[in-house]
Order: sequence, then C-alpha cells, then structure tokens
Amino acid sequence: MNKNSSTYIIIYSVVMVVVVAAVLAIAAMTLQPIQNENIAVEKKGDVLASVGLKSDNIEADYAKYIKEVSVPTADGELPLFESNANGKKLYIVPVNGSGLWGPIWGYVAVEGDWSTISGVVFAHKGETPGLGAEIVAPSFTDQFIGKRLFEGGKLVGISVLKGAGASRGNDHAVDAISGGTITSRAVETMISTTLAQYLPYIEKQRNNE
Amino acid sequence: MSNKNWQYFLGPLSKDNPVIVQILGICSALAVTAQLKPAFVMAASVTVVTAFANLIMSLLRKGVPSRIRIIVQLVVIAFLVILVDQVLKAYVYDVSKQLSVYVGLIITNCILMGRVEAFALGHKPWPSFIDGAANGVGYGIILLMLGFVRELLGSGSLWGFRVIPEAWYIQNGGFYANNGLLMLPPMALILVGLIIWAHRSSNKDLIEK
Repeated sequence: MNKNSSTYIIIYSVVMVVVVAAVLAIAAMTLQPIQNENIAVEKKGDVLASVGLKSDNIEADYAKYIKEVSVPTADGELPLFESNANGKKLYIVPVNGSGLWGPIWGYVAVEGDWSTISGVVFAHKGETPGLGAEIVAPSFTDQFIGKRLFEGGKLVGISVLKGAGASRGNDHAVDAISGGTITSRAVETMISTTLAQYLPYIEKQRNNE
Repeated sequence: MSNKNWQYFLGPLSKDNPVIVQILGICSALAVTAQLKPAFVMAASVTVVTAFANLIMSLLRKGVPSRIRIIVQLVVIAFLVILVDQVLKAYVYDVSKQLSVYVGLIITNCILMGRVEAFALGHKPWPSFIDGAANGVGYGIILLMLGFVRELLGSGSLWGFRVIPEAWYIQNGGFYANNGLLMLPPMALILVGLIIWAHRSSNKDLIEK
C-alpha cells in the first residue's frame, strides 16, 4: 500500500485523531471529580484567607469559622459568606469580573458596618505574570485593608490610582499596579459592579443597625 | 540492558545533554526553577512525555505517512502532555498551579520533537524509550541543579523547608538577606552559563575549535 497516497493519509489522520480524542476524553472524565475537589478546597482556602486565616487544615477551619448564606434578590440568589473568626463578625462577598486575558475573581471581607474592608483575596485565570498577575500579591491586596466602600451612605467602591503613593490618605482608593493598568481597572470594576448587585441587601442591613 | 542501550542512556546525561550541550529547552529551564519542587515535577513530567513520545512514535514509525509525520508527532506529544497536565491537576494541584502554562508548553519543548524526529523514527521501540527517558533525565538534572541553587540562595529554603535559620536574617537582627536576583529568570540563565563553563572545562572535546 502506498503510504503517501491521499486516501491513506486521510484514513490515518482520522483514525489517529479519533483514538487520541477518545483516550483523552476518558482520562478527563475520570479525573474530573478529583480536580473539582481540589478547586473546591482552593476556594474555601481563599475565603479563609480573605478573613486573614492562613490555614493548614482548610476543610476543618472552613467548617468551623465560615457560614454560607444566600442573599435573595429580584432575580435569584447571590452567594455570601459569614465568618466569626477571632470573635469578629465579617461578611465575605465573592466578586467576579474579567481581566485583560480572562476571568478574575476574588473575595472581599467587610466588617459589620458593610463598608470597612477587612481583607481581600484575588485570583485570576491568565493575567500577565509580573504585571496584571500581581493582583494576587500581598503588596497589592494589603492596600485594601481598612479602606471604605461607602461614602456618606453611597456606594463608591475602591478606585485604583496611577502612581506609587497616589492613594495615600484616600479611604476609597488604592495604588494601581504599574504595567497592569487594565487588570487593576478590572479589579475596580469587579468590586463596584458585584457590590452593586448586593446593594439592596446591604442597605437593608445598614439601616437595621 | 545491552552495551549500546547503556550508551543511549548515558550520552544525554552528560556529553549529549539536551540543555547544556544542545542548548534546548532553555525557556522552561529558566521559568520553573525558582524552587526545587516545581523544577522536580517539571523534570518528571518532561521525562515521562519524552520517553513515551519516543516509544509511541517508534512503534508507529513504519505506518506513519512521511508527508504528515511532523503533524503525527505533534499529536502524540500533545496527547501525552494533556494527559500529564490532567494528572497533575488531579494529584498535585498546587504545583500544577505554580507551573501554570509551562506544563502545556512542554509540547513546544524542542527536546521532544528533536528526539522523536532524530531518534525514534529510525530506531526500535526499546532503545527509543531509553533515549527519550535519558534525555528527560538529562534535562531534569540541570533543572534540579538550578532549582537547588536558586531556592537555597533566593528563598533560603529547599523543597519548601527552611534551611537558613530565621534568626540570621537582617529583619530579625541577623546579618543575612536572600538574593532576590536569583528569583528572576536572567540569573537562571547566568547559572546555566556557569554550568556550561564548568562542563566544558572538564570535557575538552566539547569545545569548538
């Protein structure tokens, strides 16, 4: 048989691709549950980290300190976490947005007044290493601690400002990451748009205080 | 193993080393060696992929239409890499996150295509397997050397365990500071250069006239 005839080449490629696809599909489906488990544990670790707990035993600490609640809204429910770690009541809002190259997400822990940020954790799918990817670094996330989301009863969110130290003394801003402007802005948008969805609930909570 | 197979195995470890003699696979050697553990996982992954890519291509070599052989090689390599990536995500999730895109980029590692094209297509399965494994190990040795030096001097730890006592550090009143340059890829390139220098000084026949 002529190995360079078009018929042979086409049949060869088709068979090869089908076999490879079948094996990969089986492997992916078999490993899926374990991978999902890892992702779930990582998520719990992020929630714990947002309230300042660095845990070695994520499952146990999560069960101990974190309560999952849901916020009813006009079109469904929104996820929310409550934490009572260190005897302090904190609300943890999961935030989602899109960065430069792909999704970014995180957890924002706020104090009982729903305005003061007690800690944040961010994560991303594929931001540029060294630039946008720095949103996960403590040098960026630590800036959020103590900042305020509300100004005189109005949601203002946290802006990112250009230049080191630009946000000094500003309760509603942090320094952006140089070279990571689009990702930094995406963090700003992510926090304000996500919190806007929770706004009716938050205002109810704040008025009850 | 026969004498010849031993030579196939020992060659890539030193005189035919893919990284320091053939200067292949440099990109990942610089990218993943800031710490020992990811370097080891990367080395193991590459070894598995080269060994089995060589084995599979050698088994297929009589039936592969020569006009599409590069495509077939890529499919086989990509198949193995995706498989390895899935396994890493399931069983060593944290390392897999650290390696991020570099696992996927094993596909483009020149060592793989080089060995398949230059060796596996012309040799029997068992010698091909040995050749592939040996090239992976040769690559791995260099990665581990880089990872050892970079993690020890750059982070003061090995495999995540602290080696240099906390009390030595300047911020704790000591005299020592980590060398931040070692955490950056350019320093890894300088280290590769030093290894090549030492290697050539002891193997004079490698020096070009």
